[in-house]
Amino acid sequence: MKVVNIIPFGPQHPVLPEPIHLDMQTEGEIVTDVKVVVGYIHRGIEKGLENDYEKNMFLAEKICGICSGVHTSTYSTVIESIMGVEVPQRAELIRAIILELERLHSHLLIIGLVGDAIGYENFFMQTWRDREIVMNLLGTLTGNRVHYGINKVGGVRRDLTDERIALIKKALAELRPKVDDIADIVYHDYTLKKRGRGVGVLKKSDAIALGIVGPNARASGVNYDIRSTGYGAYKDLHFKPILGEAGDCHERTVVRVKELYQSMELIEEALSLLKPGEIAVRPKGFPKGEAVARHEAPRGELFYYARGIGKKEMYRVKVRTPTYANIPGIPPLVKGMQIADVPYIVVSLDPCIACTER
Amino acid sequence: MNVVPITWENFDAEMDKKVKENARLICISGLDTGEGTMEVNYHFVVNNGDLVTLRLTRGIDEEFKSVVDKFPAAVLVEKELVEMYGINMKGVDGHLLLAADSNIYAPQRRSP
Repeated sequence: MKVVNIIPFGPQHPVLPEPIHLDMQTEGEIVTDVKVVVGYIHRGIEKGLENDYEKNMFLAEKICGICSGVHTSTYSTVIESIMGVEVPQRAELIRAIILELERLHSHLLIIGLVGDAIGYENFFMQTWRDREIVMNLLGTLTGNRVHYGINKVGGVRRDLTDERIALIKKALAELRPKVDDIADIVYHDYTLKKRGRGVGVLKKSDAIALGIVGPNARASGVNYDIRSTGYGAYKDLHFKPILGEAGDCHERTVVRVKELYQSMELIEEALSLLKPGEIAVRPKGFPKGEAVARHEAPRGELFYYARGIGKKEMYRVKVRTPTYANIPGIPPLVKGMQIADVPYIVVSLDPCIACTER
Repeated sequence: MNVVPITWENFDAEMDKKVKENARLICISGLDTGEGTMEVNYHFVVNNGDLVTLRLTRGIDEEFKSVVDKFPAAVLVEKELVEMYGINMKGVDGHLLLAADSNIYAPQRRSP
């Protein structure tokens, strides 16, 4: 007689930094079906964003404790679009530099967590140690390691002085050989490859049909990176999306490692384009109208829709985060896999639950 | 922002057209006008990278349709729409973010 069991995964689990729950239907060691449950850390932020359009910046930043910068830059863009504000080029470049630093520390975080998920503890520790270079740099540049408070409607709050530019260059010079070490491990380590190749394969057709975004989609060969649209300073930077092919757990990590190099190159190019000038303009009046904005967060496309009715308070702000788009990808990846593969598959998707639930 | 108003009568035809165009559904956003009507905005990116928003405006207590058969990416956001606005969308259970035993009803609804 066939025995079907329901095995819970999460909301508290050693590999999960944030709560998400999977009800796995299993036959023996094989997962035959799965139901994903979210909602453990919903904070009603979209309702809270029906508030002063300038003060909202601080709330939008609190949506995420990893990619806080991209939330404020996307929120800024959507409001600037409604108000017809033209952001100075220097501010756009500073935003891009901060966003690429954010991508660096976010990718280093998840590359380390992948090591943690498969019991490769020293790789996990090594990656997180190296991540500190970026975190400390962000702390020096903006005053905060996590919630930078760098963006405002119309530009940025802090300039990059020559001294700070030198610090960025020094940090990148320090980081690059460490990323070389991480890349060497990811590309060549027998255990990592054996554990991740052929596990949790996301087919390109499924990634497109399900609307998967970010490195998860690109690892399956989907050419979808919002930076290609040339928003903000990216129109002046040389950028080509990094694509994988295999679509498995290992390929997703490989794409993120390659994006570490890409982010460092983008930062260097942005620094070379910095010219003296204003870092912000003062918006006039209150937002009246509606707009959408998309930026490429470390986990993929981040989407904002906003409407103002000529008052200080926004009428509506809708936020669609990358993990929100990626969650429908979990069931097809998990079905047919062994129970022991599930934690690794989930972590390889780099889920951010605080973002998802807002 | 490129907004195309659609009606209940041509809703299916417009969505089928987007499927044929290989449009990608980025998000669905809801907006309660506060006067008994609900705007449901379907935000698409079409192949050449242009953004298009199809907007269905309808009485907040009237029926809405799910597009999850045509666009699987809608699965979570439709649940959230039902949960946050208390709208009636056939086949969508409306339980995503709020606790199952919560006494909070449709927190983003403005219309009575």
